[in-house]
Order: sequence, then structure tokens, then C-alpha cells
Amino acid sequence: MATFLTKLRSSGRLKAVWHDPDRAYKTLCSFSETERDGGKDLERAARRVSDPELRGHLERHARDEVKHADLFRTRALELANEFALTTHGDETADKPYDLSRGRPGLELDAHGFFSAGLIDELGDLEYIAMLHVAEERAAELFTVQSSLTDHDPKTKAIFEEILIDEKYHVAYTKTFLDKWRHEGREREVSNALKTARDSRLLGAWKRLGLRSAGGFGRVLLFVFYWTLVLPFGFIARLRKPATGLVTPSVELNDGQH
Amino acid sequence: MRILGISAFHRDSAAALLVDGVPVAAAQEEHFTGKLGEWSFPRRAIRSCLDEAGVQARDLDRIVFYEKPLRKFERILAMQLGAFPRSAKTFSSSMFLWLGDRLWMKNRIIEELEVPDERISFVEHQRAHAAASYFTSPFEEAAILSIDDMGEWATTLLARGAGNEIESLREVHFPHSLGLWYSAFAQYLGFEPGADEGLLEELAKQGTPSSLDKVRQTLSACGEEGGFQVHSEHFRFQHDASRLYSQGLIDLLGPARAPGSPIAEGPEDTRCCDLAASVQAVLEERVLALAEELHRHVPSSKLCLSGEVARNRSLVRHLRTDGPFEQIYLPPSPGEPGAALGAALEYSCSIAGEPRAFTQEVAAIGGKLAASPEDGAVSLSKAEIPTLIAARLAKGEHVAWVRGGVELGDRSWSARLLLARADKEDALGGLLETVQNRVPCAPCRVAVPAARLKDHFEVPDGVEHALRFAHLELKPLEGQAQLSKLAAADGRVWVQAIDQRYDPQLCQVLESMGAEGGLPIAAMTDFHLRGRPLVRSEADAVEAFQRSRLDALFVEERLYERKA
Repeated sequence: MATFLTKLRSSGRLKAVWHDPDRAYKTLCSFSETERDGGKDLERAARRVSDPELRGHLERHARDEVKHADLFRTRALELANEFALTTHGDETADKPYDLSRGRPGLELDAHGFFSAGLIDELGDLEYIAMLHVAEERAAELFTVQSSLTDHDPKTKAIFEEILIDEKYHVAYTKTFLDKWRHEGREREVSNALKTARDSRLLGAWKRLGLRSAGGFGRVLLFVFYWTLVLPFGFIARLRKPATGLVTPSVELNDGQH
Repeated sequence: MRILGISAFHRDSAAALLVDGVPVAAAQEEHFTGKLGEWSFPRRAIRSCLDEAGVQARDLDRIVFYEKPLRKFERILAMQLGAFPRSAKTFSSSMFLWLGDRLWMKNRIIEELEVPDERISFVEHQRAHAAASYFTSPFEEAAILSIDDMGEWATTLLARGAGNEIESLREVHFPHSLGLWYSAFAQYLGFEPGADEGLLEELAKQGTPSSLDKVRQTLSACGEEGGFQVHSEHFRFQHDASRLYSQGLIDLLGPARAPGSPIAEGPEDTRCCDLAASVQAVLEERVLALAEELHRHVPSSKLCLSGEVARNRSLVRHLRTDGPFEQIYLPPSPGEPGAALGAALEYSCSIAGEPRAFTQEVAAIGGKLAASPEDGAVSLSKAEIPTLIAARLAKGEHVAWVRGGVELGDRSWSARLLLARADKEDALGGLLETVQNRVPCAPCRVAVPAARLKDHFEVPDGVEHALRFAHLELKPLEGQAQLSKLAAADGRVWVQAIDQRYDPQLCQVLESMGAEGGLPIAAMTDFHLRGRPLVRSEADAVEAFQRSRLDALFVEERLYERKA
């Protein structure tokens, strides 16, 4: 399954993202934001867990995420300067990688399901299971990115460096899940992993649905623009907007217009 | 009557709850999500407001959104059509967004809050801004000026406030927007539009306005006295919010500054500083003309100012010193987050006819700190905290202080503070560096007891309200060499007057510093990390403290110290 997904993701559509500096810039910004959010959550988690060994791992993990955020951000700014890109506030990822916000409010990020303060809502075991599944996916995702950036050694080097950390993250979370299994919490671990994987799949399904509908809607509107809107466009160009001070024309009301 | 005001989907979404005309809770979404400028539907902020007041959504009498979606859609559609065929790229994305989501705001609110649709109301965006200023002011009558970037059609509103009513007198309509015009120049100069306009203002202080004629070609007077128009050939914000300026502006002024590039001292930076100074000067010209016109319609001595552009401190100073009004009031948050409160007040006073029952004396509205002791906390008594803070400041330490609920907006006036001694070398820059790495031009302010202000600064009359919420910069008196070191390139210091009545603890800190032979003045800024919103909870504060180079953190009655 993973191989199939990897192949699917390695399609020309994704390659194109890394060959377009503007799309690459946006995607790197989005990755940076995601890593920083993850780091914040992990720092909080590190303070909450009772096991000192797990705390140590989470603290290192949090530092890794912040380091990744800085690496992505720095590379994004290098690209922005190199190609004189116009940056603006809402740096959403390029569509093929818009894993975070199919629609604002889904509260799923690029790893799939972090949200600020997640540890406060889940227990240690559920949190680590969620983290494990997320890191497995992140490792897979960054392997794909690395393979798509051969033409850009600086960006590729970042993915390679991050991959080393991701493998460690997968390994230590697995160690703790195994430890809990051996302590007789096999069922809890299985359920937590299942919940984590289901929520990721559900999120992916929702995003796919939204994106498909979005793509179709946009195509329809584009066609609409060059057919039905065209005459109205010419008419609208003849009308000059009001300039200077004008007297308010609408009476006070609490309706939508 | 319980009224919930909501602002969302532009920037800085927020919620505010009014009970019988008095705001009891207000919260901003970014403080919960940790994402600076969060604009999504403020469900966590709403939940926080309702929880704090002990109210269920079904108990709300009215939910008021801060703009009218149908009228805004009409404007967006008209602008997209008017820009045909240049809007080919943006039409489908903006229409998709509006037809798929924004237009159905009423349904969204019903879905989120599970309230019947007859309880949902919409008020005009500029009137929400105007209400946020006038209905929180201490004035019984005043002229009102809201200068913003966008809303439905109106971008600027001239109005009269009298008792319980706001009367709209004149408007300026999109695309003629001072806010977007200024943001476009911010973007041209490499800053982030909608976020870093303050940096453009700071850059302006370092230049001379040598490009006035060229900048006036982009914004000129027109029609009735005070009216203005933005010349569309230089801008793209009419139909595209991602890049606000066009090739026309580059042809007029030369190449744009690369985004994020450092500001050094070279010929290119001189050009940028001079251009910024020219933009600031032209903005002030236009706003002074608007104020003169407003004063002709409303010959009051008092002005209530609001909208995103009102955050420009140099502009506020010019309005007071060169404009026709003797007293100026600005709410703590004159921009988008404050408009959530404004929407609720506009409905309560103007539409429901409820009497005014509120004057904003402190910035925070309700709000308790989400507090739970973290590792390493040391308990203190409330009484000893000011003395302890003053002692640490006297030793040259950088201290964070967290008290009560967080305020609306991106600044904190008392609840989330970072403090340092003001007479230290590079006090302001050093303070910023402890938490945010230094951003070139990033401003920092000083806290001064209101009663001592005239001992140290030239204070014009009629600005006490503006100074309480740090909307002004003042010139130090002759001979105040230590204060001159804190001044920006224009010789002025950003000042917040601390009133003994409203913040006795901070006043005590400052007076203790003065009593020990130092200045009763502290360098002060807001407690957040770079690129992050203000810290909200005790956990957030401890986390930010650990990632900073601050020496100590005081949270309510607890102290956290940096481990060696």
C-alpha cells in the first residue's frame, strides 16, 4: 500500500511543484509552519508526561521539529530572494501538498492530526500512538520529497537531514508502544493505533473530497468567466466606481445586505 | 440582553460577549490556535467567552457578525467584473470561496452555534469599527472617523456620535482605500501586507519625504473637500489580494525591495526609507483633510478614531497636533479584533436601542488566566510581586509578567508584558532580542506613571486616553539624555501612560524603580515569541519563557526562574 501511495505521489504533478520556485516557496513555508506547530505541541507534551525517559525523547523530538521549521523557513526565504518572489501573509501550501487545510476548521495539519495542546486531550498512550502513526507518515512523505528534489541539492539536503530525525521519531515511539504492550496493555495500544490510522484516513478522505469538489468548481467557474461573464465584464468596465466622499445610501438594518 | 459579536474571515478573528450593554468577555482566536493572524471562524474564542460568562449558545439573544456578506460579495463581484480580463486568474478562486462558503455566513453561524436564524444579525463593517471606538469612549458626543482597508463597499467612514446613536455622514468606497494603499506600499517595500505596516511606519522615521510628488500620483484629492482617490493603474488590490501593487507602481518608483531582505545602511535602503517617509506624509495629508471635512460636519472638540489605519501612531500624533480636534480617543484594539466588540455594541445601542453602559478604562475585557502551576514554580504573595519585579529590573534583568485574561489585539497593555530597565544601554533592542530575535525597525515602548509623564515628556493636551492605550509617541523634554537614547530616528519615544487607578501594581513597580534613584520608567513590550501571538495560558507562558532568554517569569502569584 505504502509503495503504491509513494508511486502515486511521485507523479509529474508533484514534481512540478518543486520545479516552480513560487510553489516550492509556499510549500516550504507550509512545512515550516507545520513543523513549528508540532514542536510546540511536543514541548507541552514533554512537560505533561510522567515517565522521565519518554520526557527526554519528547524534548529532543520538539527540538528537532523546531530545527526542521527553521531549515524549511530559511530555504523558503533563500528561494524568495533568489527568484524575487512576492511573499504574502497567507502562505498556504501548494495544492498537491495542501495536506493541512482542505478547509479551515478541519484542524488537521500536514502530519495528519496534531493540534495545539493535543496531549491535554489525550492520554500518554494515545498521544504516542498518534505520534507514531504521524511520524511514519512524515517519514514516507519526506522520502518522496527527497526523491523529487534531485535538481535542487540544497532542498534535497534538508529533506535528507530531516529523514534521519524522522526515523528516530518512528523508532522511539515504537519502543514505547512495544513497552506498553509487554506491560499487558496490548489492547489499548492496538485500539489507539487503529484510532490514529482511522482519523488520518478520515481526514485524508475529507480533504480528497473537498479538493475534488474544489477543482471541479474552479474549472466550472473558469469556463463561466470566459463565456457568461464576458459580456458583463465589458459592461462593468464602463462603470466607474464612486470616487471621493459619498453619502451613505443604505438605511440602518441588521440584515445581510 | 446577551449579544455575541463575531469578527472573522479577514484577519484576526475574535468574539466578544455583551450582557446588558456591558462587555463581559472577549477573546481572539489566534490566542487559542497559536497561529498569528488566525482568521478562521472563532469557535474557540466563542467557547471561551461563553464559558467565562457561564452562558450557553442557546441562551444568546443575538449573534452579530461584523460585516454584511451579501453587500461584500456584491463589491467583490463588481471588482472582478470591472477588472475583466485581468481577473481571469482570481475570479474562479474568489468566487469559489464566496459561493462555497463566505456567502452562507448565516448558515455557518447556525451550524456552529445551533441557534435559530432569527437571532443572527449583521452590521456594516465600518460602523462596527466606529462603534468599537465611540461606544467604548468616555464621550457623550464626538466626531467619528474610521479609516480601514476594506469592508463591504465603504473603506472610510465619517460619522457623528451623539448619546446612543451613530449617524453615518460620508463614506469613501472601494477601491479607494487608504488602508490597502498603505499596505500595497508595505508590500512593495518588502514587508508583509496586513501584518507589517508598523514596520513601514518605523522605516519612515529614518527617511526624508523626497518622493512626495511621485507618491501623490498614486493617491490624490478629488471631489468634495477631504475626498480622495487611489489611482488604479498602480495597484492590483481591486481584484487580487495576493499582490497589491502592479507593474505601474514599479514603473513609477523603480524595482520593489526583495521581501524579507535585511535593511542595512546603503543607498538602496536610503531610497526605501525616503519612499516610506513620503508614503507616511501623503497618508497624513489625506487623513488631515478628512478630519478637517469631518470637523466641518461635526464641530465637536472630540474625535473617536478607529480602523486598521488608526494603529499608525505618527498619524494619531499629527491628527492631534495639526488637526481640528482637541481630544482624541482610540480603543485598545482599533482594528479587526476590536470590531467583534464593535459589532455587538452597534447592535445593542444603534439597532436594539439599549442605553450605553460602558466606558473602556482597561484593555482586557473579562478573562481569567488559564493557570496551572508548571514544574519549577515558586509561590509568592500578591503584595510582594511589584517589589520583586522592581528589584530584578534594577539588577538589569529582563522580566516577563503575566496577569489575568489576555487582551484583544496583538499588543498587551498590562496582561502580557516584558519589562526591562529603560536606562540600560540599548534597553529596547535588548528586550526585544530576548524573545524575538531583533527585527529591524521593530518598535518597543516605555511605561511611565501617568502622574509623572509631564516630568519627562512634552505632552500635548487631550491625549490622555490615547496614551493609556499607547497610541502615541512623545518627545522627551530637554535634558532627558537617558530618554533620548530610547527615541526612534524622529526623536520620539513610544509611550504608555500607566494610570494608578487602573494598574496600581505596575505603577508600584515603576515608582519603586524611581525611589531607588533610577528613572520611574521601564522599557516594555508584549510577551510573545517572534511569529507567535501573545501567550495565553500559564503553560504557553512557561513554554515561551523556556524558549526565550528572559531571566524571570511572573505568572499571577508564581515565579519561574531561569535555571543556571
